[in-house]
Amino acid sequence: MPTASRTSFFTPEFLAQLERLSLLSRRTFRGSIKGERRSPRRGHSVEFADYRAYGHGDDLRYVDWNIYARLDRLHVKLFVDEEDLCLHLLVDASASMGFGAPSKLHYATRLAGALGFVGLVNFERVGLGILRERVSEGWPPTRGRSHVLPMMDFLAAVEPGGGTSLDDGLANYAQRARDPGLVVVISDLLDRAGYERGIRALLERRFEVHVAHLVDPEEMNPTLGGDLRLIDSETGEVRDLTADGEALRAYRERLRRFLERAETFCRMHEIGYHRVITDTPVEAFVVAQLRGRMLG
Amino acid sequence: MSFLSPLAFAAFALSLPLVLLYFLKVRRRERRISSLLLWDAALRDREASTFFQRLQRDPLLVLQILALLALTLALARPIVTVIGEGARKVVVVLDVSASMKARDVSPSRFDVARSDAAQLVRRLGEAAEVMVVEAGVQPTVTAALSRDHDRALAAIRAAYARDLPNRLPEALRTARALVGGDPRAEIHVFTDGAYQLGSTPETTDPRVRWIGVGRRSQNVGITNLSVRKSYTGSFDYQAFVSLVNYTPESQTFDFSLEVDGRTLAEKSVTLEPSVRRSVVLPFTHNGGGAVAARLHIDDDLASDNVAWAVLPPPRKIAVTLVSPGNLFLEKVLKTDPQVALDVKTPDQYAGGMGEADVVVVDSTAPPRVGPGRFVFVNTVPADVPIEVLGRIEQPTIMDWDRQHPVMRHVEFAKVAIEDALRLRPLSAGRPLVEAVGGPLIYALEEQDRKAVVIGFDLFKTDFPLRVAFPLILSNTLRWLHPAALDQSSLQVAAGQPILLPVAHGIASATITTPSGRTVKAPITRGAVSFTETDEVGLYTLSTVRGDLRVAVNLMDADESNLTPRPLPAPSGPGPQAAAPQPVQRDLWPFFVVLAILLLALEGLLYWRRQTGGRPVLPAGAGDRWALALRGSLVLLLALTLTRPVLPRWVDRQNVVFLLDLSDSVSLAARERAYRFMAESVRHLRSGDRHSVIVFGEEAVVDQPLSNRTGVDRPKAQVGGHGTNIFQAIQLALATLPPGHANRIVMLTDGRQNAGNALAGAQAAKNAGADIYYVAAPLTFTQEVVAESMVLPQEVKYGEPFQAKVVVWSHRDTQGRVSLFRNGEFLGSQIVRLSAGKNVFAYRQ
Repeated sequence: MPTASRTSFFTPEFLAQLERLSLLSRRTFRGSIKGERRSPRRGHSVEFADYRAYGHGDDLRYVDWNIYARLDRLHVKLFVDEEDLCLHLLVDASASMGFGAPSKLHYATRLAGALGFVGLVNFERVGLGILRERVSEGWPPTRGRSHVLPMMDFLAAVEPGGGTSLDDGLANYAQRARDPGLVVVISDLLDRAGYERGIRALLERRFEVHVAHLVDPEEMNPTLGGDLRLIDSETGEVRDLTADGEALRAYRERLRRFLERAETFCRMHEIGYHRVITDTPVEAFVVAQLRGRMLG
Repeated sequence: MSFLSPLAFAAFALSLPLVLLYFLKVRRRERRISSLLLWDAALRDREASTFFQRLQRDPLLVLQILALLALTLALARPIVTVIGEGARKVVVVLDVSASMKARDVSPSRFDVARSDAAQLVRRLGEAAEVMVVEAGVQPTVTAALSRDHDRALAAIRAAYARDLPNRLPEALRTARALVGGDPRAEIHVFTDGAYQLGSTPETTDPRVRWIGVGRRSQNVGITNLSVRKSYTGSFDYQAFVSLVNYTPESQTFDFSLEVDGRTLAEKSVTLEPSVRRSVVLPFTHNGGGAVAARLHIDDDLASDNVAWAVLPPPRKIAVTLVSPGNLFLEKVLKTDPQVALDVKTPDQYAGGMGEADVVVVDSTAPPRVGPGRFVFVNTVPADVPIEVLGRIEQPTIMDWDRQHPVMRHVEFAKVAIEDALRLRPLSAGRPLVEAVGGPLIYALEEQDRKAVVIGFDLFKTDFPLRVAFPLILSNTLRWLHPAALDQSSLQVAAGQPILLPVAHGIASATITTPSGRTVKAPITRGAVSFTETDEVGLYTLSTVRGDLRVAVNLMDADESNLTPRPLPAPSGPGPQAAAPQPVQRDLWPFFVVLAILLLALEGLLYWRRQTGGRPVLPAGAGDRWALALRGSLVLLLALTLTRPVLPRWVDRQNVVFLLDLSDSVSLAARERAYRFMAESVRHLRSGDRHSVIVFGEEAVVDQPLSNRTGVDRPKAQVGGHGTNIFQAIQLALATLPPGHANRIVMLTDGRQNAGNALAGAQAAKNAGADIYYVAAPLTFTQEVVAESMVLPQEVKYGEPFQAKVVVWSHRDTQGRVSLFRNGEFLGSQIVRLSAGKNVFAYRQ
């Protein structure tokens, strides 16, 4: 029920808070449509940027006659051009994301919804990609407030399932994307094959990459105990384990290394890395952690 | 180290199934998780395939097997034999009298004595045997002589001070009788010494050690309270209160008199040191209340700061007089203000009680009277177990009972009777007035009938003209029916039994003590008795006919005077140095503790394994059960350390034979008594235990309580000049364990001349011990006793009088009577004696 999911997504207060935010980008991107964002190209806004010597074919309307009078040379006034930013939200919807209460996927779609909302109300183009073994579904970059509700409905309908292949999915998306821009990968990064190759592919396409790493509190601090038979939700692999203190200590050590690897990788590649335990409300995460780093 | 039950080692075989259990494959709970990426199988799980490797890595199994081993060892009852020092026999006698409640030492004298006694027991070597005796109403052995010091300590801890006068001599006597002549025995008496000790064998025994507590006397007490009806003046009652100041300074305090909580009088009293002051307070009351005299002072002893008296409720006795017309009886009964008289002619009465409380039947014989309360004058109805053997002309009054309540203040000396019925009682009772040839007045006490029989016609005697007549009648009515009890019968001293008549038709009664305890009081022969009056205050006797309150007061000047008197110093050399003795020491508790520790460690490890070290319950129900099982096992084992006891109904009894060895019992009778005893012991069942106590002037335990199959001839020596049945019963009660089926078998001729056997029997009844009596009849074939000499109480100077000599003979014989006056021979005469009582009168 998309409507129900949609209405339960966010409170009006939070949406009002989100409306006051905009996307922050460390770099400027070339957009395709006029937008509200400074473009590397010079254009036709009212904000003066620079002067340039007149060349053949330049519009005479932009010649600065005052300069000509003073220096007897023709100069053209250049104005800042404003273009939009393309925000790509890549949501991992593999089976492992279906865990937790609420599930990590639920959290991921809510986070994507919040970020998409910020993008749309700021007249940016927002595109969605759902990652399973590959990018199976998606939402082409669109613009305008009117797309807010359809986007929410789309997100609410995403179900967890299938395996993960972050490398392939991300590389695939990087190749296909027409407008590189800000990309936010929302995932638990639990992929045996790794995720580094995919993210590098995004970087090669000059995307500005942010990783929202979702960790379930149960994964952070497992409450397992006793003699167990663990079943992997994605691969169906089975492993017998007596979850005593020793096993839990080993788990914590591996978890620490896993988290450290993700963080180091992101830092080395100037990727915005945002880890969130999914018992933190999305609202708090967006307002307290992303604001200033991704949202302004 | 040796083992008492080595068979228990078989229990270690349980370790086999324990190991086998480990062969079972662990049933794992399935759990889907997001990814196995972060989970790596622990070493143990990877190696689970090889069993022995797994065992090595599983400390749980090792711990379980060790715990099982410890438990098996405990079950095998390991003991070590050590040479125990101090093989002494220590008797701890605790004075529980009221003065021990004094708080001059903190927290109280008794608490100090108790902790001293506990310290003494704790200091004793392992081989020492301890017994604890409480000097209560009856001396009670609360811990029998044994090496179980814990039990003795528990008995000492459980003791508490009562509101009793000092009963130490009895307790000492019992303690000495129980240890016999053992020179190793030590009797430690913990007391405050607030009494005068006489120089008796008990106090001079070198084995007795006195340990005194108490420092000073800071006490003001009420030593007397009595209330009486006043027949003159405008007040109905007068209260008489005596107050004594036992402090070294003069004391000023408030004193108040209350009736049912309402203050009647209050005044401030100042008493100089060691001064007794008596106060008389008149007051008006309708009767039927409880009077309390209170001292408002903070002194060392609280028990004597309040005294109670009960005003008898104003009830009347309904008396039916059945008589063809007897002016004397009618007049006396009408004069008594508490009697509601109903006069009937003989044809109006057909037996039974009707509405009356007491029926007086005069000179008429209804065919049947049935159970009830009666006075029979000059008649014996057919269903009364007294035989009339004819008449006695001018009976000679030999003696009368001066102790019986009916005979209180009655003087029978000069009563002349023309002729009387010759009565022969066939049932229990007491002759109140005896003449040559039989009783003249007899108090009959049957299970459901109480009666006083006056066996002569009131018109053929001068008895109705004497003061004794209304007195005897009034006393009789009060003995037969409780309604007219006066205040003094409803007030007893602590430690004295409550003994009250109950109205006809009451079969059961309960007594509620001041602290709220409810006790069923036995009723026998129309009287209720209760002996445990060890608490001051109001006791309520509840019967179907309503409640009756009885006041119990300390009112004992000796107890109120808390001044510690010097205690006797050990007179002789101390007990001989005890030789070390081998003592067996139980080791099982150590092994149980070890098993508990091992199991607790195992449980802890298991818990950590199941929860990963978090302080929560395991998730799986099976794991929770396993943990609960371990917890309850540890708890159960811990419980065994407290040595729980399970009471069990057993069909066995303890029999104490009380053997009379006084001189009045002939050797043949003693032999017969021994044979009877031996025969009885042969018929005891295997679980039954028996003991033998011999008594004469004093009682001694000859053979202690045991379940031996035979009985030996008594060897203990007792003084033969007396028969003290009371002491024998007291000693028997002290040796009998409470709560068992106890039986006392008395083999005596019943001729007591010391102690009060009735009080002893009462105590035995209250303690639930049955008393059986096997008469040891006199076997002397030739025995003549000069029983008494009856002289008139007053004669005029020079007036001749009759000196009557009462002689009892076993059979017809002849003898010589010699008469002396102040050692001067008067004369002698050869007389014929017939079997029974003979009276010879000599004119002087």
